Amino acid sequence: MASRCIIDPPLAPADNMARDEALLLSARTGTRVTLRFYRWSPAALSLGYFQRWGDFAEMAEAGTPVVRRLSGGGAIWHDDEITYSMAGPFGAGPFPGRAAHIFEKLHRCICDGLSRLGVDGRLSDGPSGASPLICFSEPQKYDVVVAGGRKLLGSAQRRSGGAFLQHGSLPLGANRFAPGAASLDALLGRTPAVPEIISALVGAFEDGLGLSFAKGALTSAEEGLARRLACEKYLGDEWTRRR
Amino acid sequence: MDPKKLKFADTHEWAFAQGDIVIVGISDYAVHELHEITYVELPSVGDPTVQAEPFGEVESVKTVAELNAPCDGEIVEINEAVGDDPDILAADPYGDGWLIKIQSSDVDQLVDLMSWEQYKLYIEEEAEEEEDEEEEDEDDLDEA
Repeated sequence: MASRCIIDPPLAPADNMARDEALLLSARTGTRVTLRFYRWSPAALSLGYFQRWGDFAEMAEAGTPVVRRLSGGGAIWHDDEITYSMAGPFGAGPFPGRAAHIFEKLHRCICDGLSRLGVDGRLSDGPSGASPLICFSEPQKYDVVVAGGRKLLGSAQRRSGGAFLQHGSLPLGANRFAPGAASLDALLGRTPAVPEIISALVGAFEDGLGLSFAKGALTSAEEGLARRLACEKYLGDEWTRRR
Repeated sequence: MDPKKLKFADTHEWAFAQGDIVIVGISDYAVHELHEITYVELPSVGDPTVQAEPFGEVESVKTVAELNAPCDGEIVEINEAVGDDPDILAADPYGDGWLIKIQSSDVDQLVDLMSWEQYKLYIEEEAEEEEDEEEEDEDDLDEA
């Protein structure tokens, strides 16, 4: 199965979400798998697809950048972190059909990647019901946790037309909305370089999925679609305040 | 509703035609697979539907999945109770957990869907594939 890895520079919240959606839509029509890494500039709060705008309106009005995700789960503060996304067909190649099994498989790969960095992570066996308002405040089933059961990484998923998009955040430093959550710099006692982290994760995904990720970029069609989605959807109140 | 009288899509929605009105829900298997549905979003009365295109969404375990229409038509009724309380869907997917009613513009489209017997075979195969996948993952872990 053809697979590519895209490493984006820090981008605006709407652009990040639009690019992930473009990759999901692209995965619906092909068999290609895309692994993407990105950061956020400015830092922003992303809301889960079903979360209520009213719970966050005050923060947004006070100046916190807010974007709504296509995926489920709780709100996430994206600041000092690396975000990954994976888009591909489900029930084909290395990806199981069930959403929970994809979470489990990709998070096992991430645990392997973390171990390559010297972090001992494992999958949480916490509850799997409704997400908390702020995602990192408490671990849920299949989240990656470290010593003391503190959450280090969680992901959310969107499924559409036989394809899935899963994305999740790996905090490098403290999260001001979830002070109890773990972060890589505190666990390692140093701040690893971003390329070091990405290299460890790519290696683990390749080994765990049996894929070889060639360095790539969005196609021109995907770039165009992402620009349109950013302007017409993710920057608009109709989407951001939809619930 | 007796599932043996329903038609099923490969995306796990069921459909039952009463004249040109088509009642739609999701199967017991899908409810089980989704596991703890936390949100259901349904369309509005008057919205159009297109066969195999999304008419609504559900969230479970941080995953948003689309619900696909079994036929072209127009929404004439939605089950607001399920939107308010997704547990109804889990408790009775073929009865109180119905989702929408469509005024179908082409009820013959339901011929494209599976019968109960065909659907049973389909989900058995799907479950076997998942089990094989799980076993492979466990073997990989053992080897590691």
